[in-house]
Amino acid sequence: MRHLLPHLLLLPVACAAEPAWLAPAVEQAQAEIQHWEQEAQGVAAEFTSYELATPGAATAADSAMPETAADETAVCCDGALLFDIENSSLVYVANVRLSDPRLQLRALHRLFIRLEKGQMQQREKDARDTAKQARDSFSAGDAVPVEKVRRSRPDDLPGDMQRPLVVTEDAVVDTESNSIILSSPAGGRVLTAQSGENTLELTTAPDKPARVFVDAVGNVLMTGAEVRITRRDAQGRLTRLLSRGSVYFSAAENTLVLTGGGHVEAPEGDIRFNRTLTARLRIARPSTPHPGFMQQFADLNYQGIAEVHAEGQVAADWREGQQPVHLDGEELDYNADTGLCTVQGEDCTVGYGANRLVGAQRIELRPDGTVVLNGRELGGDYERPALRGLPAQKGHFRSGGEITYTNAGDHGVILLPEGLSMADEGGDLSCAGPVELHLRPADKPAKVPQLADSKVNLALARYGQLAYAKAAGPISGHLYGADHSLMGELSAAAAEVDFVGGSVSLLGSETVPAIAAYENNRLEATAGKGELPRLTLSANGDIELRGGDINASFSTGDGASTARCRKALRLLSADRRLETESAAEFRSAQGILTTNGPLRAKLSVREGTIAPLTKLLPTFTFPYNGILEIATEQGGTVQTAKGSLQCSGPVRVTMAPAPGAEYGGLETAEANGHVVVAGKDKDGRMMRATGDHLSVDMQTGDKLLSGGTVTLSDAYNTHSASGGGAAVRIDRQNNARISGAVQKTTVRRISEQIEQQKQKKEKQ
Amino acid sequence: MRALLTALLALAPTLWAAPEKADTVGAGEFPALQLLPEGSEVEGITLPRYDNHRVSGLLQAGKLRIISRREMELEQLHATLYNKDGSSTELTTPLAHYDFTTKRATAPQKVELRNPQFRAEGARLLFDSTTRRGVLMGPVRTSIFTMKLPHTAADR
Repeated sequence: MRHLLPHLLLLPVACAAEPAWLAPAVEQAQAEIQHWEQEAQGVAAEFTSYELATPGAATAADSAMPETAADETAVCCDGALLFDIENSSLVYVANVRLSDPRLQLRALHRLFIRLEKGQMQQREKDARDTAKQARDSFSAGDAVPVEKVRRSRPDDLPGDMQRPLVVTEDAVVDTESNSIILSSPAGGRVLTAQSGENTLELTTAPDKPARVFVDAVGNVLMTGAEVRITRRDAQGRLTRLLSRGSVYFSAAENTLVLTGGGHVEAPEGDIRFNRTLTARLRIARPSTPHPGFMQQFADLNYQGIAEVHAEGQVAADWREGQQPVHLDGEELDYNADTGLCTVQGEDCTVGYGANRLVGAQRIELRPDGTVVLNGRELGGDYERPALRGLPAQKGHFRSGGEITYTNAGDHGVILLPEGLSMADEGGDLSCAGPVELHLRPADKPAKVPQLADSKVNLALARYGQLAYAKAAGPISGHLYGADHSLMGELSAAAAEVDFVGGSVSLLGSETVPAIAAYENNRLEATAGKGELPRLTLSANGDIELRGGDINASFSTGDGASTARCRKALRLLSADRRLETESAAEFRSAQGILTTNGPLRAKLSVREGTIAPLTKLLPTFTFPYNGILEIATEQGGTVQTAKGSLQCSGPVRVTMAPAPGAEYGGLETAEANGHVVVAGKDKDGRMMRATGDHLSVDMQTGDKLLSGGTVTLSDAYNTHSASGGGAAVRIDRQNNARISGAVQKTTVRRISEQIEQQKQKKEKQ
Repeated sequence: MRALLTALLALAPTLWAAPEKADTVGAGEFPALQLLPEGSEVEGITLPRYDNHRVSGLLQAGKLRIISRREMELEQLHATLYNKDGSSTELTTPLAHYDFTTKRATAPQKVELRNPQFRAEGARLLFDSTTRRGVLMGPVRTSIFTMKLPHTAADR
């Protein structure tokens, strides 16, 4: 019977998730408990045989503990002592108090002590020597123990423990087998043990007793509705353990097993679990163990946790600084020797602060700070700092396959080989190819304690802001304003962004243009023959676009200005110069400029402090507000509301800087080659003038067109002049006058002209 | 006189046949008591107790009184109970009653138990000499000397 019952008792605490050695160990412990409970039942029968009622449990639990000498164990009780001389057993009932140099124990109901017989022979001899003295004097003197014992000292106790006080309803102290059983019946009082700030609490339930069993080698089994253990280490840091099933400590394995769910709260972090937690501890033991009762725990030195395995909806919070790293999964393994922490399950989560990743099948926190996440479909939440007047943005992201975070010393690196898509109210980004992100410490970094060796490396928590990004695959991104209007756009086949330095490099493909746009500024390059589109925003403010077709538009005070060219467009910040490598077209409110070849332009800059174009790139500014000078060697055309200019040779136009005015007024203009100027005169007649050289006097607004031969024509007549002084002068109202040594006029459609003059006179 | 009486009592089993074997004072356990009539008192008596012809105890009393054929009273009792393993337990009490029929002793006053393993004091005692088990009624105070208290390094 004694061997059958333990199997039944085992059922609630043994399951497949536990170490293989646990079930037989618990079975043995349960058998011992069962044996002593049967012995206790015999005690009740014993009282009955004496026609005595079994004294009940005491209601007053605060009666004084007996005083004791250093070499004795003193026991008091209010009820009775049942003694068995032959078997050296003592059973105390009702408010039992035991004081010992190592222990204070209060058993409110019953204390069962079995004394060891190993020293009986020697003690017997000594007892006989003292018997005579006792007979001569009825007032009993103190017995003198044979065994020389020492005065109790703190180091008699395990590790850094103080003498514990145990409060229970029932207890068994078996000095023969060197074991202890503490128990409170189902529905009974809390079983407690306290040593300084180290405490043990076992609660009961209406159907669940609380029990502690300690065997000779130091194995401990604790069962109850809840088992709570609190321990304060030498540094004053608290560790709390809670089990809703049982706690078993194996001395041989130095391993603690918590079943039934619970949690461990340690200075380094917390672990919560629904099923089992197995912790292998670092415990130093003396090479020569003490003999004596309960000395299996003497001089033990707990030195921390070596390994943890937890199962069943595990949640762990590893602390570093102010933001804990949170892990969720079905299984967690932590090895303090290697520093490796892994979480496995169908839907594992890792997060810190408001950033969270879900959907991983495996998460590894490696000792070098690397975090590896594997999963078919990874996703999560993130929070990025406030930008552009918007509050901090919380968004979602998705990826797949694997995400790796690497601690690179002064920054963290996240690799997403299977792309990334992310979206929040401030913007979105999707990338099909590999992504590399670098994180830098937050603006207000949390205080980062120095973690001891062999702990989880939580470098991940140190970095919170994006510092660098590199991505491949079709990339598409958008930025939105507070009113959800589109503020920015990014498109490329590959991208590299240095958020700290302020540089952006976008590489397009045959089918994917490189586009960067923010507010009314937009840069776009498409593929050309043999050249992929590329867009570069350098940290010094330079902008370069290369490719087939290049389009740029900028916001100015006069409205949008656009530029189109082929091959390349560069904006050199230091020189404030804009240049193209091909023919170009510029459109603005003032007109349209088309060049036949490369163009160089000097830009004017706004005065005052120039704010960054976007806070994403805090070093990148766009301070330009107009053009100071335009030059091209292969000629081109200029079209304005008043007229047009066309030439085949060099053109140079300068404009007066006009602070506060976009596109300052024209200062000088020169055009060479075959120059054609067209416009309407004050009467609205279209006029056209040609020559070899055009200069504009910005003081008078007069245009002087000179050359070997100049012409001035309207719809009917063409005047030509050649020789010395051949020129056409056009004033601000487009009134034109031709001069030259040799002049010739060709008149066409004479009758039509005569008729028109007649009609004009009749009207007058 | 005391020594003479003790000698006579010791010789008694060989001198007289027991008149009432079925209801004899101390028959088997205390052969020396068979000679004493009811109401008799003996001072300074030492009585060996036999259990299956083995001395299982030694009673020393300041005064012994035969109350009836089945009960005696002992004053200033000091009893030594010998265990099978050779150890012994001392029991001391001012007053004790012993029932030859139930083989149980009761002590209504302060009782002290002492053996090499422990010393116990209680207010009253019930003791079964057959099972050698008893109940010491509270309040009880016990000192235990065999709880394997730790040794000093020098001791070891």
